[in-house]
Amino acid sequence: MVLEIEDLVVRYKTGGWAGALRSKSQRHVEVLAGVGLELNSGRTLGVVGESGSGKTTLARAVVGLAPIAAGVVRVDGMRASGWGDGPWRFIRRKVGFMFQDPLASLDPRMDVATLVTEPFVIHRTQGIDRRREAARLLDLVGLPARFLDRYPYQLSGGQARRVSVARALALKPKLVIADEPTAGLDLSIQGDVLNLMTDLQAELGMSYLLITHNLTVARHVADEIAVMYLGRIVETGPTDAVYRLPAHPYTRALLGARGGGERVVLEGEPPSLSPRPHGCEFHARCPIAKPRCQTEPPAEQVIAPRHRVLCHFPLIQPQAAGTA
Amino acid sequence: MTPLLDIADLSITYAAASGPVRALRNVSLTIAKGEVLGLVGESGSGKSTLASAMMALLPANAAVNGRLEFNGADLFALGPEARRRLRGNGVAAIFQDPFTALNPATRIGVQLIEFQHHKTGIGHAERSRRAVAMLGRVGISDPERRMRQYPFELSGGIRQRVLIAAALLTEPQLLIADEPTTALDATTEMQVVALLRASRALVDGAIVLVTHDMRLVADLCDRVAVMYAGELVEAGPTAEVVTRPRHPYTKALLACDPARIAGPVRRFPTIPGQVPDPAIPRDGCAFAARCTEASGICLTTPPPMVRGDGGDFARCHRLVA
Repeated sequence: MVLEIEDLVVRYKTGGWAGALRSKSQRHVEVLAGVGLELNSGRTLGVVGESGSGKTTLARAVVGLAPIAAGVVRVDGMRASGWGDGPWRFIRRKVGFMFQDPLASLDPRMDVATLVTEPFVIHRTQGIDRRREAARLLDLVGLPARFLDRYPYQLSGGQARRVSVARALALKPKLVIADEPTAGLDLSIQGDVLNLMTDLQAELGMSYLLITHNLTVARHVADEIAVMYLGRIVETGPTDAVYRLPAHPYTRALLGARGGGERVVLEGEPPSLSPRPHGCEFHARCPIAKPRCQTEPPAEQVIAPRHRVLCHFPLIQPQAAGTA
Repeated sequence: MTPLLDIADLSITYAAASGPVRALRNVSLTIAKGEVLGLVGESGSGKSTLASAMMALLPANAAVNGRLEFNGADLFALGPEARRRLRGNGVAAIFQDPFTALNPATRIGVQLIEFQHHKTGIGHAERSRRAVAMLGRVGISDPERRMRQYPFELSGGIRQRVLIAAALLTEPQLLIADEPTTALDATTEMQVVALLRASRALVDGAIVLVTHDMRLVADLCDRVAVMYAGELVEAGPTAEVVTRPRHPYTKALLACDPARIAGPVRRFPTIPGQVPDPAIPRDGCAFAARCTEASGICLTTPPPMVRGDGGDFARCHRLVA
C-alpha cells in the first residue's frame, strides 16, 4: 500500500473577531470530515468533485500542508498525523506534487534546470550533478536539453506541465499527486500530458493520486475513483463500476452532467459548511431524498467488493452482507 | 434577407515590437438573425480576436482589412461614439470569468440599472423593475434581495446568471458568450447551459458562443465554425460537422475529445506538432505540418474553399475532387 488515509479531518479556523462570538462548533470550518482511502502501488486513484468539495485540501493534507485535526496518513509505511515536521519530511521525499497552476508554481526567476532539481536541494541530497540530473529529467518528460536554460515565461502551457512533471519525479517518488494536471490545456495538448503520465507510470511504477473535476479524463486514466462532496467521500469504487452503475444520486448527477445517459440537473449549489447540513449533507439537492435523509447521517454501504457508497437509499442494491 | 452579421475576407494584424502578428486571415462568415453559432478553436486560433472584432473592441495596434457589417452598417467605418452606442445597444457579451466581470464595490442592483443607460424614455424605477424581473427570468431566487447584494456575496453560478441577465437587459441583437461555463463546476455548468438554451427565446437576434468545448456546441448551437491558426477552416450545421467533419483538423480535434472516446482508453489521440507562429509568414495550408493527409500542394498553395450542399464549407486541398 503506497497511500493509506484513515478518518482524516481537516479544520480551518474561521477568521476575525466575530468568530469568537460564535458557538465553539462554528469557529471552525471542517473541510475534510473523516476521509478514508487506499492506493496500491502502480495504480491511479481519481478524486473527483466540485469546487469546495475538499479535493485540493485532501491532496495538500497527504503531504502535511493542511491543518490535520484528526486521522492518520500513511505513505509507504510511514505514519503521520497532526502537525509537526518529523514524519512529513520523510513523506514529502516519497511524494511528488504537481500543483494546479504550473506557471504560478514555477519560480519565474529560476531557469528550468534549477527548477527541476530544486527538490535535491530542499532534501539535501548529496553527490548529485544537478545539470546532468536536470537533463535526465527533461529527457524523461520529452523535452530537449535546450530547455534547461529557459525561464518559465518562455514555456507554453503544455511545456510548463512537462516541467512540473519532471520536478515531481526528481526524487523518484512512490506517489505523485497531480492536482488538475490538464486544467486550462487545449484538448490536443491535454492528451499529450496524460499519455506522458501513463507512460511514466508504466516505466517507473509510481502511483498517481489524480485530483480533477474533469470526469471524462478521470474515467479514462483512473483505476479507481472517489467522489467527494462537502469534504466526504460519498462513493468510491473501481472506475468502470462507478461510471457504469453509479450508486450515489450525486455521482449520477455529476456523470449526467457530462453527456451519456439521461440528464439529472441538480438544483442549487453546494451548501455552506458552517454549520454543516443535518442528516445526509446532500439531502437539500438530492432528487430522491426522503424524510429520513434530513435527520439521520447515512452509514457506508457496500455495493460490491471495493464499491462503497454513503447513502440511505443507494441507486444500486447493496450486497446482502449490507452495511460495513 | 440581409444577414445580421456579414464578415467578408476579414484579416486582422497586430503590430508588435517583433513585427506584425497576423491573428486573423481572410475570414468570411455570415450569421443570420435567430441563429446560434458556435465559434470553436484552440488557443491561438483567433477566435477571441474575431469575437472582439464583432464587438468593435479591437486594441489600438490592430490593423483591419476586409469587411464586417452589422445590420448592413460597416462596423469599422463607425466613429468612436457610434461604436460605444452599438456596444450598449446592439451587441452584448458574457465573459468567461464571472468573478472579475462585475464591479466588486457596487451593489448588483445599481450595476444592472446602469447597464440600461442606453434605453431612453424609461426612468430609474422602471429600470429597477426590469432588472428585478430579469433576475427572476434567469432563475435567481429572491431577486429583490440580490439587487441589494454585492458580488462577493454571490457564488460563481449566481454571478454568471447575473451577467447573463445584465447582457439580456440591453436587449442585444447579437449576444456574444465567450467561454461562459469554463470557470464553473459541472452541476452549475449544466444549470447555466440550460439557461443559455432558454436565452434563445429572450434574444431577438443571434447568439455567438465562443468555446473550445465541442460538447457545449453540440448542445446549444445550430451552426459551428472551426478556426485554426487565424483561419476559418470549416463551417456548417452542427450535426453535420460533428458527425461528418470534412477538414482534417476538425476530425483530429473531435478525435482528441475524451468524452467522444467510447470505452476507457489509456492512450489518448493527440495532434502532433504545434500551432504555427502567427508572426512567421507562411505559404500553403496552416495545418499542413500537422496534417496526416497532407501532400505536396498543401505546403505551397493556400487551400481552396470547398462548399457543400447544406451551406457548409471547408478549406482543404483534399476535398477538391
